[in-house]
Amino acid sequence: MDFENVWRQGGDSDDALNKLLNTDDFSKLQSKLPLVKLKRNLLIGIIWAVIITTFYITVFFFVGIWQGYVVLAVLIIFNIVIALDSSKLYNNINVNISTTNSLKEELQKNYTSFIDGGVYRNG
Amino acid sequence: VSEKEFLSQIKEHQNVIYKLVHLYATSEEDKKDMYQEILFQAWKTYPSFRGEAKFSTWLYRLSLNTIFTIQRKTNKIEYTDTAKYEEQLIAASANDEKERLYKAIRTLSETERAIVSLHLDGYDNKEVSELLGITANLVGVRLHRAKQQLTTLLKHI
Repeated sequence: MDFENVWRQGGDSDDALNKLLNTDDFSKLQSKLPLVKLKRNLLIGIIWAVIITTFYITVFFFVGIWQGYVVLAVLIIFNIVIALDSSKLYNNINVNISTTNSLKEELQKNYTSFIDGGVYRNG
Repeated sequence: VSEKEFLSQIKEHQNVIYKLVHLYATSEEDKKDMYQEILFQAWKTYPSFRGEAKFSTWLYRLSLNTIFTIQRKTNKIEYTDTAKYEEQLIAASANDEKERLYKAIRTLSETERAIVSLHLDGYDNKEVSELLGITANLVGVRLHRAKQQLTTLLKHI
């Protein structure tokens, strides 16, 4: 089989692609990247952490017993740490696909946004 | 940027999207998601396209980066068993050479699929190495190995 000739035969399209290409408005397309979903979930988590922490702080002033103060202080600190950590991760996740990076650089960028604290060094 | 101009460019080069998605998608659902994400990303980044590279090269880079990002995050990596695949090839229609070639390429590793696809579309080893971020020597070695595998697989038909 002559790979090149077979590869260059026409008919490189299908219904699913044609349907999308005939869409009325490209700006209405939604991203299906799992990174987008992850970012959305992180944001929801951060908002909940802020709400719950605010509640704990309010309760803190009405407890009246020292054991309650200790437990609430631990919970408040824990929530603040989680919220700060999540917001750092949220800011590090880049959902835009690069058109200048090579494939290797793009995968490295994705990897470092999770593992290396978002520090991406090109090359 | 007008949608009409964008659409005209994409339609002219839709074979790039079709070929790559056809090589990496593992199901109909997967294929639709990949098409949609590539078009979404292309529409979003098209204003930054300055014509420094050919549009087809720009689209190749964007499509590969998008497909690999989707696959990394969802762990949808297909490893087709060669022996099982040979049975499928024998069962395939003898006239449908292109589909058999696609199926054969899908048995290669993810990187080799991209190398073979780019090579068959006329890109030389240096251009492929720039797109993938690996050395031209490595591209040559892997292309040679991939061609051998494809030849072995397809000559049984």
